[in-house]
Amino acid sequence: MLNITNLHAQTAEDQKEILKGLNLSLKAGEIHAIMGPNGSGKSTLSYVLAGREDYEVTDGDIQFKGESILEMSPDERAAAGIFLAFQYPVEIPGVPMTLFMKTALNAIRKKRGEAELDALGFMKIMKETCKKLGINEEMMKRPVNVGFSGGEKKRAEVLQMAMLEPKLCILDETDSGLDIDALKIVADGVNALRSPDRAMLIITHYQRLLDYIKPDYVHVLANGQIIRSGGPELALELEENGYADILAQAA
Amino acid sequence: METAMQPLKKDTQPMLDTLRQAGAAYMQQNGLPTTRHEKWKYTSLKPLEQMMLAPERRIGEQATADTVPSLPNTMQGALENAVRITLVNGVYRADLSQADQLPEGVTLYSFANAANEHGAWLQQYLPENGFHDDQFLLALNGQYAQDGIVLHIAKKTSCAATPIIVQYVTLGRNGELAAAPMAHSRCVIVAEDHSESTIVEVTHGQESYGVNIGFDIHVGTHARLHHYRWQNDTQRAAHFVTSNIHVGRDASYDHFCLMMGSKLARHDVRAHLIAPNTECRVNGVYLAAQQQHLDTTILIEHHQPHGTSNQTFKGIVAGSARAVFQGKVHVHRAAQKTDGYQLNNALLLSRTAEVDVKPELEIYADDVKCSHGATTGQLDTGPLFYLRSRGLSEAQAKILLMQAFIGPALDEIRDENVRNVFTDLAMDWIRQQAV
Repeated sequence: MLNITNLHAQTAEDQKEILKGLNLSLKAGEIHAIMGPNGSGKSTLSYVLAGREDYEVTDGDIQFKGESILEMSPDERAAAGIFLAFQYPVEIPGVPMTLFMKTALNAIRKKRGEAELDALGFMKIMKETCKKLGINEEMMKRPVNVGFSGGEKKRAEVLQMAMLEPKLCILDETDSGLDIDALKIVADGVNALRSPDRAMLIITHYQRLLDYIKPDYVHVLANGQIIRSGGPELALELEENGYADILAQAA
Repeated sequence: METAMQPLKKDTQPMLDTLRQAGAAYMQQNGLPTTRHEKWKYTSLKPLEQMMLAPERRIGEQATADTVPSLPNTMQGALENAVRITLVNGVYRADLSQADQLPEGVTLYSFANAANEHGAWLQQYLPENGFHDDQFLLALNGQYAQDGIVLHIAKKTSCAATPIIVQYVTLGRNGELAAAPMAHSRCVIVAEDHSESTIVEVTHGQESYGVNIGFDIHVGTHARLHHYRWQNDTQRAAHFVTSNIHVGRDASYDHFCLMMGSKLARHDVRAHLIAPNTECRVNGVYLAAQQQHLDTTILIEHHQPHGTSNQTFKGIVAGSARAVFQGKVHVHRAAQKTDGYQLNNALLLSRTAEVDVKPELEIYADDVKCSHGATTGQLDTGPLFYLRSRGLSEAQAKILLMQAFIGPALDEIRDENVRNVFTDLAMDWIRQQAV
């Protein structure tokens, strides 16, 4: 589903190289976790995959469902099925969640060649999804992420993911700033979206999240490259020994 | 029109003549202000130098219902019970108006008729010479005084549910603004005690022209006047509005201006809160593109205690356009417990767009609450990327963010139907900018 080969990327503003030849491959149905110390390029990878214009790809390729997505805009990638759950979901005052979600869902449906939903059809899907994920509908009346608690923001991200039905879900430090109860709720939401035709890339600093969302593979990202890959046990090893050992081995 | 309209003795000098003479004398002595004048620092009237400042009667007289531009569908739909009043090139047109359908208690006069027949009554609502000392455009308006309207809302009339649409149509000439004529009209609104009414104005036209409207607005004790304007003059027009407003005890003046037309515009408001516990709301949205220059200049004078004034403005400036916002709140010594609020937020869509903001507070009372704020910025890449990552195209994302940006100002419009209409009109502009 996703093939990243020799990916080099830098910041657009000051040409600072952050990803330095990254290789990664995900198949449908798989869950991969990427772990790494601060500043290793984890968030950059998620932004580059989603098409943020603050980063430039200078070498290598990203293939999604067999096609390069480097020339695709963020909205084209979203329509193709890539979804990024933000580490820091953006607050947008004045735009109610429902208006935002209806516009988003219809934009994606249109690009996918599906019929757009009317207000009634949209509300039905929204209510069902809220119910399934245990989200209070009241949240949908508020402006996008404005005044949301940390847990509410992450739950809203999962809700968007559920409604837009992506093929590749990237979760960027979804656990950051969550207490254990909020983490469980978010993890339950993510687990509900596991499916044989959907791949997930979980980016996290801590092993804790992986107790709740069980990965098939774990990769360690350091200094812009994947320096080690393994099974779930690798996460436990990192938790036990920290990043220092692995970084030393790689060096 | 109450006791004031009882048979009057003939004035020794007809009022229109007085206005013209005073205006002409002032203009001869002072001319138009240059940018060296403090209040005109950011707005140059140079384009007017070549203009024919006199009105061109003939073009207006030829206008018929078929040739004047029509109101947008959204306005006709949402305000279907409205009564329409039309001025063409500054002259009231009974044949294009529905004066006979005005709500009970509302009386309409052409300014020329009112000045001829009820000059002494009318004079009390105008400044002594027709203008205050530095109201150049109002002096110019007086110099060419010919007509306009007088709207009288009688005591205890409650007709806010039947909006009165006043459209100022100006038909100009093909060609550049420099060679265009200017239409001058005078509009007097007297909202008597305990009345409540809604007036929705539209300024629009054809071709190249100047339009210069003078307002004298009086809101009586415990009266409420909702006064909204959509400025949609052509991109080759110069638009000027000068308003002198007096708000009485426990009364409310609720104004909103959606400014998006004309090449050059200046909206000059001077409001006096002359009695205790008055409310004055002067809010707006300005949308400028291409080479437009849109200026809003406001002076709120708090003379008495417990007054509230509110100025909430949001503007979007694109292309090489320029917007000016000068807002001043003047709290006199007696005006204790004044609550004065002013906010101007501008969004620039291009590197060549410009906004000049000058907020001012002048306070002589010691127990007041006054605040002002001004920001100028551009669309943030963070929210743009967030929206696009959810499938919204760049244009859709920009539209949503611009809509959200001006929303809080539009929310200040108290009449829900008008708010919806003005939102639709602003959204049309926003959609054009996003492509």
